Amino acid sequence: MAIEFQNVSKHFGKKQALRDVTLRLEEGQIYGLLGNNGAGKSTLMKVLTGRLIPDGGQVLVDDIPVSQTAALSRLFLMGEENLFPASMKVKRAFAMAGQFYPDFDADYAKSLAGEFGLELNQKISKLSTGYGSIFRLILALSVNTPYVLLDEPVLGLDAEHRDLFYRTLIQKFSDRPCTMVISTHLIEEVAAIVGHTVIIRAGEIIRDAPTEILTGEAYTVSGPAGLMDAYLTGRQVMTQTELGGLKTACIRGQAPESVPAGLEVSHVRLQDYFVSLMREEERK
Amino acid sequence: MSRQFRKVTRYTLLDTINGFCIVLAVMAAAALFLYLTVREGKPSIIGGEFGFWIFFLVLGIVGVREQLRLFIQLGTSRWTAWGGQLLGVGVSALACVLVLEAVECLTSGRMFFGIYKLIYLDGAFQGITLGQRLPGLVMSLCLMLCLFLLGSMLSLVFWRLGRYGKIIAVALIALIPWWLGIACNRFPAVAEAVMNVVRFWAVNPWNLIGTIVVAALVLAAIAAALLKTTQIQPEQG
Repeated sequence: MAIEFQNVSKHFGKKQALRDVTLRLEEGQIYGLLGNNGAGKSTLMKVLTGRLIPDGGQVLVDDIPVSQTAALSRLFLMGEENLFPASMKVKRAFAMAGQFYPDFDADYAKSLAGEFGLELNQKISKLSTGYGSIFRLILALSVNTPYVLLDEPVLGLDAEHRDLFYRTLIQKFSDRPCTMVISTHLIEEVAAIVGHTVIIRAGEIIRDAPTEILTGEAYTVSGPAGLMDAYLTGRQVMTQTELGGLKTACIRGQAPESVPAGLEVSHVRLQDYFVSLMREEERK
Repeated sequence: MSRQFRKVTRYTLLDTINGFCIVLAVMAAAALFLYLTVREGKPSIIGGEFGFWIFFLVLGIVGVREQLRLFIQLGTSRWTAWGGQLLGVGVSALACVLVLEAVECLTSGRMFFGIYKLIYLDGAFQGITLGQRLPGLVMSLCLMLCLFLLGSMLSLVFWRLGRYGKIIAVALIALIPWWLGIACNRFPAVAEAVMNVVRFWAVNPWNLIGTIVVAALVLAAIAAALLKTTQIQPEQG
């Protein structure tokens, strides 16, 4: 049981949005889909959910092509944009979700709406950016499909609502495991919950591995610039930054047990690994 | 028939009937206004079903995008969404045709008077057999579906075009009657061909119905070809 992208390509005019993407998303995992602006994350999700037709390759959900309702009914995409009719109210959208997704938990959706402060009688077109996201988030958390895709789920959410969302997400995953794919620029916020990371750049998958393995590929060392320059000689430096005489570098390889006096070593955070990787790729 | 297909059909059916009732209410209000204000003769809206034909054209233009968006969000393929919509529109068009015929009969043609009876039955209203009514009902039904498909096809074409493409397309469509008029004026053969087509339609209503059905099939094929690669985008603005 998995989602499979098989040699998927998509272009928009001269821009190649996806280049021969091959990817497998297994069941019961939380995936992080990371990439810079325009890397192809949203395109990937839209091809998966049938909103875009790829120019080449195919996408399968549990061995069923995504052109078929049998595949699409196993997915729910919480996208950045609203696809519900402008005149539709929130409660009508919940009712429709209940008709099309047999496992939709209407009571859970209503209780979440109460927690987030979402008005059920509000027209969807009248919701603010934040509440538009909340509306789509509640749907995503209530449909109970085997695969849930979240594209920038916290867009427009204030800190309190973001915190509530992440706690709800973790609880939801704990109660009813499914495959979740979270595409976000706020890497720090999802780093702790994402078990597997897929990094996309210029339409190509450049990393696809458990998060632990990726962050184990590099380590961070910081200290006075002079000591750092000596330490970095001969090492595979991904990126380095200097601020007020202090230098920090992300170095490829396993973190050493100890470093020369005056320097500090730490495990690389997912966000730092991502930024370093992007810079390294740009230099190529 | 899958659950999603049934749900799409039901949604379309209810949505279309809802719109039809609004148009019918507006038509009834217009007829009542005429009845109360025209002092001489027996006022009636000739070709009253024209408004309902336009309703189905507009439904095709607006409905195809709205429903593709809605149902793709609800995990339904574009083909299931479109197929369910066609069935829903077909069933509601049939209901509309029967309701209009009933209204015409109940009001003895005082509310509105169909074009079919005017052209093919010399304006006769009383003493018409079912066999004589049937072509009119079928014609109206086919025309509603054909116009719905025309609206859908145009909507899918325009969905792909940028700003300038839309302007050019609208200009080309608006110029079609003008070009046809010039062609008829300058080339007698074209004028004769057009007249032959009109005579062909006038001699037997089933000839016109056949033409409408062929047109509907062509429009459906074009719409299906467009639907295959359409990028389902959110509403702009």
